[in-house]
Amino acid sequence: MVMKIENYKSPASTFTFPNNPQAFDDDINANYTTTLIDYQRHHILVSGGGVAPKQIILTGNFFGTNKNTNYRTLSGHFLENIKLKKLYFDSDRFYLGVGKAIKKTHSGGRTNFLDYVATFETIVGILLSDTQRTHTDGAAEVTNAGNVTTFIEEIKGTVNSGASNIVITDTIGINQITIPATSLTTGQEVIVTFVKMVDSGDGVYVSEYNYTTVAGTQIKTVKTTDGFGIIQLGANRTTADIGVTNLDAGYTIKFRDGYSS
Amino acid sequence: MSSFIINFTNTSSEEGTVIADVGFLYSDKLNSVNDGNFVFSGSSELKRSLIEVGSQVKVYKNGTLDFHGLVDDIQFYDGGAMNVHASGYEIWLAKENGAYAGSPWTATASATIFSAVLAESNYFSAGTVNAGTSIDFRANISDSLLNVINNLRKKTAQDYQVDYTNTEIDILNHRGSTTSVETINAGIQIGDVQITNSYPIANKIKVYGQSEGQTRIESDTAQGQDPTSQGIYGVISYTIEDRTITTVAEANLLANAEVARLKDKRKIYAFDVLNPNKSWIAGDVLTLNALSQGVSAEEVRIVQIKRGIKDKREILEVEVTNKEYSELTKSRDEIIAELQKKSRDAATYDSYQSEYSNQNVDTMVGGFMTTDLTGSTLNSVRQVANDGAFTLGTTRFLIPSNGDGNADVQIWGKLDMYTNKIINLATPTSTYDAATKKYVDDNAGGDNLGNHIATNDLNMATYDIDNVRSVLASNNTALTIASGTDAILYLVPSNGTLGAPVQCWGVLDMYGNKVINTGTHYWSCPGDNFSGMFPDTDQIGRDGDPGVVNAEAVGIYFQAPVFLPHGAVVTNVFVDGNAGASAESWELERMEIASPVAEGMASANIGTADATISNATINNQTYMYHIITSSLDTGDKIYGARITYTI
Repeated sequence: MVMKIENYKSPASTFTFPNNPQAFDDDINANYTTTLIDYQRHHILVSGGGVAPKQIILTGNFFGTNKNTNYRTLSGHFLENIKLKKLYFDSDRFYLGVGKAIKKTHSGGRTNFLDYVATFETIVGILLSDTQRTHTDGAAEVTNAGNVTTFIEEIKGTVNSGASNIVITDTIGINQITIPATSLTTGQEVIVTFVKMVDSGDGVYVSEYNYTTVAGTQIKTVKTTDGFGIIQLGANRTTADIGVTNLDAGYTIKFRDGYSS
Repeated sequence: MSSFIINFTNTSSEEGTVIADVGFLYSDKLNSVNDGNFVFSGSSELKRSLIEVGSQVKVYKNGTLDFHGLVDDIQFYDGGAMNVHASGYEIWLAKENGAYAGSPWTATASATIFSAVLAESNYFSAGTVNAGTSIDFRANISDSLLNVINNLRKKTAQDYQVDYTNTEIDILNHRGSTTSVETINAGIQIGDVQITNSYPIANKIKVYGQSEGQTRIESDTAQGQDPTSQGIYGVISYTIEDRTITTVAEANLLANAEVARLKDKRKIYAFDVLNPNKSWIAGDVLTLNALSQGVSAEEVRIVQIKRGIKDKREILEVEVTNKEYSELTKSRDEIIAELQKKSRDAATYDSYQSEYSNQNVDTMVGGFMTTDLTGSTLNSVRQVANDGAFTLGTTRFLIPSNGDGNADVQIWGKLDMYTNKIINLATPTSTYDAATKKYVDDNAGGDNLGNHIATNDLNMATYDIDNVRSVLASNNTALTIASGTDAILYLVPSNGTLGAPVQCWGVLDMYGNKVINTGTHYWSCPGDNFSGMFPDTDQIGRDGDPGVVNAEAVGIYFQAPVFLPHGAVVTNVFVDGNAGASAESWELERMEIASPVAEGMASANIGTADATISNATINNQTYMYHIITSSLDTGDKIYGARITYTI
């Protein structure tokens, strides 16, 4: 297994670690809160069943003549936090997130080595398969073969009627989003994207979920109408769980299998 | 963990979801405007355009609309970070002023007033409105709908509730459950319990209403008092100035409502709810156990609930007080707003000049007007007192309310000209027009009601026509009565007394008709009138008492002719005689003139009358009449006969 880091969206600008970090911390932290009750032996636990964002710490080194170039490339990915990155831990599984921090350390007696410590922060706490699965409406349903609930990366189709809303639902939650008819015209192409880094207006980028375009232009009127609004697919569940209205037959649903490790 | 959806709709009616990732809180307050706060660490340029001052924000908790607000304050930071404040959508009620056309309301059901006030809103309608009480109440056009609602509900001791789903305002006797919805225990359901116990705010409340000096409205001394509380805590006086109050009854109502709320120790409780998944609403009653703080099974009332996400966890913050107090601790902004309102009220109601220009409700002016009222309309002036109070200047015009010179000016009562003329009248054209002297002269021919020709019936009602010398007939039908079965012409004596004489100073020509209904008449004859009928004997004595006939032998029958007016109706027949004759009988008979066959009409023994008459009507055209007796014996006497009849 060779670790690498690349952009989520093309161009990939892949950096393959010449030698894997010697250590990385990959904690799984459940997403819950605990309220301590003063002077008691019991406490309140509130949990939605999710996974907290991960901070993955990579500890490694580069050596040889390209050690500085390698560090420069790696740190370049970490500094470019206006783009979502895929950090591969396995040949076909990656974490989605951005680089948070990286530092190089100079240790005495290791002049040929460039030691570094890098922190990568995920925006979803699961590993995603490198292989993107696509289900085309009307064809056979496609299964999330991973072991945890994954996210629908993209739904793409053509507006069937400009007089009706597009409603997309899953069976996890239940989550539901609605694109109002007022933003639609019959025959237009609609793409709902799981997440995208979007300019706040002055070069500062923020992650935006359910990023939606109609005829190539982003719309702001997509709204959550049930649950948390992020369309998901359970482990070993098929795309039959995803409900879509008012898109012509043949629309596509794309996702990646989700893994806990 | 609840699921929250936060949707914003901008002023262009574009709606979309924006995730308040840092956190958000929104409140449900008892009798106060709700609010919410939403914090974003960043936002895209496009999404951010959904959030602007004037945007609406809707928060759905587990799919149900739990808060609907109006964005009124936004702080922007780098990277599209924002801190957004929204007031509850009911803030529109604080921005809207009503016309309050029904104000002032007198002895009116508070529900009627609430409904009328809410009907003036363009954003909310009236939902459930409990009956409340009958009240005198005044609203001023300078008051917002929310101020009016709050003012009135304080006096009726009611709560208002916002129904965001149906955009309705409910007026309830008690918002939330009046009985405890849940028992909460410190250390189990709640933590960090703090209780503030304060002295009562008041147990003697005086309410001052509108006006000043001797005309000032104030609550009665006996009202707004709670002797029990005064006995425990001493007398704690508190004065409420509410210049919208126009009657003593209204002031008493407020004084009593407030003393009931403020007479007890004020207790304010603060604690954390450990499990936020509670469906409580503001106004609900809870039972609180916090033994460490000396509280056991105490019923408290929720005055504010805050929900949301804070410090990456769902929270539920609750503020409760003792049930009677039920008032939210005011924020700095709310205190400032209340001070501003009081200041505005004082300015509005204290200044006569602005009072006239700013309100359309009744007012009391406690002195003489020393300056002119100009440039505006005095609507619905009910009364101008004093004889000289309402005078006209040199222009002397009474102009119709619409200002049109051709429109009518209505006088709702008699016009007492106080011995003065009405001049410059137009010639009458309609039935109820006043007539000018010229019109009367021209049309009356210059005499005193003479030479008039009636064109309609003369109905004298119950009045007389006196001193009529003659009724001249241009034809024979001059004095007639209407036809019909009941048509009767009465000649009533001049004094109107039935039975008094009606004099006819000339020949009464009946023109071939009868005179009927002349009353009761009598016909009589002496015994002399009887002659022997059978046997043919001269043993009949007429030499005894004058007019008496007697039998001087046995078996003598008598008879006497009877002559009555044609048409007379016999009602009684009586033949009298001595005691000896009373054993014999008499009979009135009639016989056809052409065929003399006797036919009985009445009979009885001598000395006895008979009022049962057969063929009682006299018909002299066909019949002749007589009385016969049975056989009288020696010494029997007939004194005479009498027939009573009407005609």
